[in-house]
Amino acid sequence: MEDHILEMKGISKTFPGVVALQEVDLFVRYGEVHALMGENGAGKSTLIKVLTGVYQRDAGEIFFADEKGTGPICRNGPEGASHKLDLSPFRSQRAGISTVYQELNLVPYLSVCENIFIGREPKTRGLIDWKTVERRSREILSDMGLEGVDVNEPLHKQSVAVAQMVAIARAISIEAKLVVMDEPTSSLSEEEVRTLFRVIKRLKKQNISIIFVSHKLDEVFEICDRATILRDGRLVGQYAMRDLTKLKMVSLMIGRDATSVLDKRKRVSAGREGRDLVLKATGVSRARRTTEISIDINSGEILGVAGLLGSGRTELARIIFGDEIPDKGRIEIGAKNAHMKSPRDAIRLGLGFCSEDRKEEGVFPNMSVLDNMTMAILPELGKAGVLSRKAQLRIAETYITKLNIATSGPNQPMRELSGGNQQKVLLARWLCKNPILMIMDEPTRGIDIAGKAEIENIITELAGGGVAILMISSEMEELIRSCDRIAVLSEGRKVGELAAQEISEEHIMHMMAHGSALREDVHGQ
Amino acid sequence: MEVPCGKMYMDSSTKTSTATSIGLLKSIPGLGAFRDHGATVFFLALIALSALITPNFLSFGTLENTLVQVFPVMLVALGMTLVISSGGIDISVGAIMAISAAVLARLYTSGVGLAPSIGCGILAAGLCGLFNGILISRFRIQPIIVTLVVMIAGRGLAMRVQGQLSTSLEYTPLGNFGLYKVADKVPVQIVIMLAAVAIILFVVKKTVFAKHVEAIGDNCRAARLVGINTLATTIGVYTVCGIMCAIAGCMEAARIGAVNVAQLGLFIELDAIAAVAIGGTPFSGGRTRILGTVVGAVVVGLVTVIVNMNDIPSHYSMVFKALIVVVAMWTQRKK
Amino acid sequence: MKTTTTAKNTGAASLIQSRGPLVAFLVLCAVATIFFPTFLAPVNLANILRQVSLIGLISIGMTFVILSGGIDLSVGSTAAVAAVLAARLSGEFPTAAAVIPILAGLCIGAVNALLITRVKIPPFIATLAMMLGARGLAFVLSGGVPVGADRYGRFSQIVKSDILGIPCVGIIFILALGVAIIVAKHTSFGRSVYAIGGNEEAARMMGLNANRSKLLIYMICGGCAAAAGMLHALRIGSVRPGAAEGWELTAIAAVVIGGTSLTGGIGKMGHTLYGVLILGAIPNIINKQGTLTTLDNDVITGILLLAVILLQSRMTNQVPSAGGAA
Repeated sequence: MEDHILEMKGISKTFPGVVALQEVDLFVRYGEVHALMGENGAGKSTLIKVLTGVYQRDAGEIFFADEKGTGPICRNGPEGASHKLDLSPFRSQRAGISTVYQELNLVPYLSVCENIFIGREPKTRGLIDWKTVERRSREILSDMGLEGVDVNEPLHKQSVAVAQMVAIARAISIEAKLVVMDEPTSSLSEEEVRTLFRVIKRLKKQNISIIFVSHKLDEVFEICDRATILRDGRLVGQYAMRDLTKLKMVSLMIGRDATSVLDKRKRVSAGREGRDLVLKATGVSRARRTTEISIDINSGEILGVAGLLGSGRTELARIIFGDEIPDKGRIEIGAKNAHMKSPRDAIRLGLGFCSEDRKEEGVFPNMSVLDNMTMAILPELGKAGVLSRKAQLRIAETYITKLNIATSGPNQPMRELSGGNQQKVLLARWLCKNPILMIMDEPTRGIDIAGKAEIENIITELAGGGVAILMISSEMEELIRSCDRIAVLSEGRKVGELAAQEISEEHIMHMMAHGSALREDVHGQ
Repeated sequence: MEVPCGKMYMDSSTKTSTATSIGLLKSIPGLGAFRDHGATVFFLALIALSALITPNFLSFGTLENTLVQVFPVMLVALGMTLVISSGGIDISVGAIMAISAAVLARLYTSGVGLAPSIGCGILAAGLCGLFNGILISRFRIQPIIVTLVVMIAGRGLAMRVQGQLSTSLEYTPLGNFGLYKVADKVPVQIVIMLAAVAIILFVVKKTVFAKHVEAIGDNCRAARLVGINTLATTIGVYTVCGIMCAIAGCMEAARIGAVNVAQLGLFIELDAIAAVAIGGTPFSGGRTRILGTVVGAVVVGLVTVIVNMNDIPSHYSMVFKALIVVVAMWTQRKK
Repeated sequence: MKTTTTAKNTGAASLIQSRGPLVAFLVLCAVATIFFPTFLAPVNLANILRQVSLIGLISIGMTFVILSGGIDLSVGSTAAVAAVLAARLSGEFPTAAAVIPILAGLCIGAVNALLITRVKIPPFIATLAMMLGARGLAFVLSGGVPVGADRYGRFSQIVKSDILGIPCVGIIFILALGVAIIVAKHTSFGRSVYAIGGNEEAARMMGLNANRSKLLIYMICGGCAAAAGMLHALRIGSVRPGAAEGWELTAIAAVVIGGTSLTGGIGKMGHTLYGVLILGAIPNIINKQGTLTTLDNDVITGILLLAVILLQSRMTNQVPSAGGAA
């Protein structure tokens, strides 16, 4: 406890249907920058929210040092929590923990100095002492190396970088001893990242500790001292940065010792001759998320897209499906230029799309399995706008059997199904339309082994029937098993493409780890 | 061009609070059933209570009276249910009733035939609905605000259309129609009401349109990704609601025998929303409980009738309705 | 968080936002004076102020509510309850006649807040139900008939009089507005209203007690409505239980025309004044014009409201949405 400012031991947290954290530890020393790493669903943000009191943990203990460097502020033994001691955002702030969230929990319409002091404004005779607020804000910002910011301007007029600094400034003004930064550089330019790192180094000098949650390996290696890696809600381990390489870090996050019992490489890649070009995207760019990406897929081919969080995979999928309009680039479908302004256009051209976030973007939770499955094909089923329940049921029965969907019947509300079965229903939604191109973003996320195998078979069969498939996944084995070719993205760019014999975990991870081919890599091997 | 989804319905409290809310009612068994059939329970309870305390309650006269009273609320509530299940709301329904009745009165008393006059009245209301729908989906303004504007300005517009505050329709064929009884027994309102319920039920259960409406209310983002034309569907929903208001407005004008733009359909939005709340259609959208709304509308009408029949001062009915709505919302909150 | 403002947008948008309502009011006055030179006469201006003061009081409370991202449809009914109470008590218990109605308003506001924060009913529905309930209460308290207020008592005389040519109710309104402006801009509570309206999730995460703030907000709104009702009773002398019908809509319109966004977090308390004045000037002009009626008044209000909302929606489309994504 002597040199640890924070000790989280054995933290567990379960949500209905999902184990988010299982006996996770996190130890942070005084004045260190500690990275918290892991892929989507690893549990990073849940752990942070447990720390700050947004969520209440189910088990485990949290010890946080106060001024004297002793004494826990919160203790939760195996007997169960005592209400008084549970954390809340207010209490954790008061104790000295401050968080800069990715969504930047600031109020856009209030001014910079207000955001820094909200809830704790210095007052004289009951009224806010604006002079002091402004002065202190300027002081804090200039301590951080930021001069010339008009602290009275509304926050939304500032750049994202300044807004980030404001969030950090708030943390400092609370005299936080521990600052948690959740993906702080996701929207910053190189220059702005430099500024941020300068600030972090200054904080370190003041013996303030920082938990740095990020997926950007370069940055983590540059600024962090140690790292805790999570995977699937469990602790993989805690390491000093000097003991790690980028490659090793990637492999720890992704987990080469997966419990999968399936064969390493099953797919016999069909040749590319004699197949029609279904999709050709050239030089697609949008904002800073995707830059100059070009891919093409023939019918019956499965093109995998690999890349870490933030690599632009999902954005690319959205652009191809017409959900977002690219700033630059061209998309051709079936050798014809496609100007899609909405998913409706894409669907009309024969595309289908399974989103990675089925809860927000796929499932209609209060509607039935039947409705969910037939939603995309409804207009074609009936006559003159009238539903044909018979046709609907026929489709439902076909696919419930074919895809082995576990449901009490087509009328069951979708929200009652397990994740895997929901995914199958969503798949069926597009399958019944006989698409020419299926875009699948994390098709087996949150699904157990048996379910994964089933879905992979379905995908392979689809391709066998001539459908072109774009498969995005963070699971290496899945891609290696099923894909003909794999495009690797990193930070918005396509850094390479592997085909047939080239496909192997080492190659993929190497490409992901070392980032864009255009950037100099001074850390890795 | 399609527009992405915004917050359709003004509801700031639910997002953060659901994570931490732990209702007391969760522990009470049987509440689930109550939630699903709450409206029916209210209905039966009300009937039982009234039968006990009100003389002559269980008679055909009461039934007929109640149903005729309920007629405009029922029609408007049916349209309102569709709007609410799309995740929106429409408080301009009273004003739309007045507008369509004003158009009807103006044309009819100027010599235009009955059918075309009614047709134009319905058209006018449809245009109002179109206006609402376009501002909501294309310009992405919150439904409550758009319909608030129409509510404020609508009656004034109606008066300009009609040229005067009030037009009499008594002793005209239209006025007589308003008092007409089919086979000398069943008031025409009841027939129209049944037809409307049947048609809306059909639409809700059997059309692609209704499925799209529910999808938009259930998960607007997913609806767009599934290829639903959210723009057209939203416009359609508000237009249907407008048409229901037109029918209600014209028939009420006929029955009352006059069109008074300041009075026609005044506060009917309150009763309609109450009916929907009691009937169990969630205000967050995604489900359409038409039969629930039907029962809810009858409950609302019953409250008024019971209060009248028992010589209770009529303003108590407002208090009762408010209480019923609060209880209905409370029980349905448990998710 | 992505900012999408360009130089052009910043300039025009912020100018409209910061000065729009005042400019609109001045333009309206200018146009009115051209057609009706008597418009700017002090007597006429005093009249306008007299007419709008009570709605103005309600709009003050409503501004707090709308700034916090909510809405309160029950203010008209609350005013009616207060008016009936004031009328009832004014004869024998003059002090009570001033205090009890306000207490009633505070209670109604508190119930609204509880329905919203504890029972988790959306503000629209909760205050709609209260609108019905409180209206019924007003009828019950009055026995369904108009209630006479003591029009010869001291308070009543004061309320109906002018001081230096300015109507007393106008002074009350301006004073209350002044206090509200100070509270909104210079107190922790006031800033918390903006924070909750701007981003409630963030406000909670920053440690603000949103439920407690909302309780205060709706109580203030109820209190303002009650004050307006009480003054109404003293001024008019006889209160129908159906009084103050529609006042909530006018108050909402005044707040919105004053530039406050119905989505919350944006707006200035002081600008509600212009919204109120504009809504007062319109019927005044219509009166002078002679051929238009009160319903036309509503049409113009509606059109004005629509214009403001369209403008606002174009401007808020340029304010950033929360960023952060995979």
